[in-house]
Amino acid sequence: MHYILPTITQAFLFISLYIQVFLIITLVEHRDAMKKRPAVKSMRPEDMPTVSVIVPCFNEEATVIGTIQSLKQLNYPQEKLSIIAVDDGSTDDTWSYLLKYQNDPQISIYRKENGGKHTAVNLGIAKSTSDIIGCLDADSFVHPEALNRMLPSFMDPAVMAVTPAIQIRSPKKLLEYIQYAEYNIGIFLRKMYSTLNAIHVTPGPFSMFRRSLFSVIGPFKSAHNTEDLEIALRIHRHNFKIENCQHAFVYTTPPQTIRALVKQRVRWTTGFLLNISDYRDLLFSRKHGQIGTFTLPAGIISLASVLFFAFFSVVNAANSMTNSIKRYQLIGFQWHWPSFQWFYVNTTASHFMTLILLLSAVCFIFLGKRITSGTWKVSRDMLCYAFLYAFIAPVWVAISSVRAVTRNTGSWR
Amino acid sequence: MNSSRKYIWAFLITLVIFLSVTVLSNYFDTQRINEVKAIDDSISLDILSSEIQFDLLKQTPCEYLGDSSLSHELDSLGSRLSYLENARGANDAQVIQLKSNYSLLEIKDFILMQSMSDKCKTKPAFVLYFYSNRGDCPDCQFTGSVLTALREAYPGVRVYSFDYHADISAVRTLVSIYRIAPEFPALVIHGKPTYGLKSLSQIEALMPEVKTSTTTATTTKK
Repeated sequence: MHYILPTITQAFLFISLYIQVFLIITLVEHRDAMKKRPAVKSMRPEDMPTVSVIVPCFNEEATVIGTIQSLKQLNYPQEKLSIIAVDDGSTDDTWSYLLKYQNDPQISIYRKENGGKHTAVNLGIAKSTSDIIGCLDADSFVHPEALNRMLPSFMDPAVMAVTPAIQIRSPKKLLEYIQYAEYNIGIFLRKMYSTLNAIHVTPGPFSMFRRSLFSVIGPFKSAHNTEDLEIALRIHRHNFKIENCQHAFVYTTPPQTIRALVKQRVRWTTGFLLNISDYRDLLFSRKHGQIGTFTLPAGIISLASVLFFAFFSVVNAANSMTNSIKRYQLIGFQWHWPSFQWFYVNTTASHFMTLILLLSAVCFIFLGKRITSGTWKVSRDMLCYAFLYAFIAPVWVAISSVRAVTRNTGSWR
Repeated sequence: MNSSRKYIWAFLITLVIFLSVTVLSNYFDTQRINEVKAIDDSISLDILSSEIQFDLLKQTPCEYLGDSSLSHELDSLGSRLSYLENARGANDAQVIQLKSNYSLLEIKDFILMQSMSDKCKTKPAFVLYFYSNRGDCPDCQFTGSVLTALREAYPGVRVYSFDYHADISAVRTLVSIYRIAPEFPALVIHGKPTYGLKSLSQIEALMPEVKTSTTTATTTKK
């Protein structure tokens, strides 16, 4: 029993390090792909595909106009780009705002009873006749060149979907800075997964799909409120490719409170676990490539590690607090200035491994930052992320694990 | 690189990193053991020196018998041993060996201090503390903290701590001399055993002379 806990700790650290090393090897192997920025200039205008971007809206009166305006400012031939806005039964003034575009030839607007995001996107797909279909959440905004940078990926006929690089829109608050750093790591990881053809989610903000894909694999599904994750797994089940364009920037509005952030992440994480359960045939399946042999197992291990280390951190903190109270009762308050002696520095193998893992996480933040802003500078978002994220993430992982076990998907908002 | 080779390479690199940090960690552990051994040797020499000094000066007045300067070193050795015991486990062979040496040094210092106080007619403030690390003494860590606080409050108090279950004949002799039962934590104050967790004020009540004691402190283990 004495050896079980240290052994599990070492096993988690070893596997976590293995995942990091695997990603670093992938980075070294594909370092040129990290630099390459595709340009639509290489496509002749007549070869440019027609594109429809669906904007599903539910109570998005605050942001929907900005979202549509950013789409209208995309640098793409107007006659080849259409926008389909679908009001999924909003109870605020979203529809009134959409009506302003009723005479815009580039924009089609539809209103339906609330049925969930997937039903709104499916309606848009049904109304579209374009070669490429994209989605854009109504709280997100696109860079004018995003579409141009993504479309060349479809020149590979095996590519059925392309994902962008998602960033936080103008972070100002502490919570936004934390998410800013997290999204930068996401940009790096998504590119690495792309080189492995192992992207496990085609996010709501501006993922693009080949229209023909839906006739083969079917429309979006509710999928435990994570339709963007489920469709990515379904694409892999059919052995199609999902690419990532790390230079196609999309700016999203992050949750503004910790409560909203936790709720969003509980939905994502619960959806991840339940969809993995639904698509368990992909796990460790070599037939479906590295989505099953790397991305999904790595995701599960990461969540399990967070739970394991958070649980013991909480237990240790509780023990430490109880002991401090008892000591206070026995000897009263005693203050000692902290002293440093090399003898007492923690030099266990587990401690070194943890430091290496932290170091590699910092490297991933820098790499994501390098992709998005071209700099290696240390910024406040990194510090915010490092100090605060570790305290918030275990909360939603724990809630999600319970929900996944009880198969309780919860509500969207 | 094909994917199978990449998985193998990643495993090998991870294994190399893992083994490297294990070797590095063992190196630091060895350094710690060596440091503790060095302190151990130094104290042995100091105790021998004190004993000889005491024998030489038996016929001389007490003011020529300087106080033993071992307390700080015994204290340092005790806290380092405690750290090693936590880090490597109580069953580690090297830890057991070092603890045995430490216990013998404590007993030697205890005897020397008793002899000096007998000769000089001082009232020594000694506490013998017997703990167990077999999982049957949840209060031992708190007793350690209380005794540390006692030494800090009254530098004249000398505390000697012993693992009750240590396989050392000198410790077993102490246990039988003071008739200490296997109940923990056990303290011997004024030659009488007392059991259970005690607060600082309770121990102060048992040793009213501490405020006037002039001898220096030694170590608190556990």
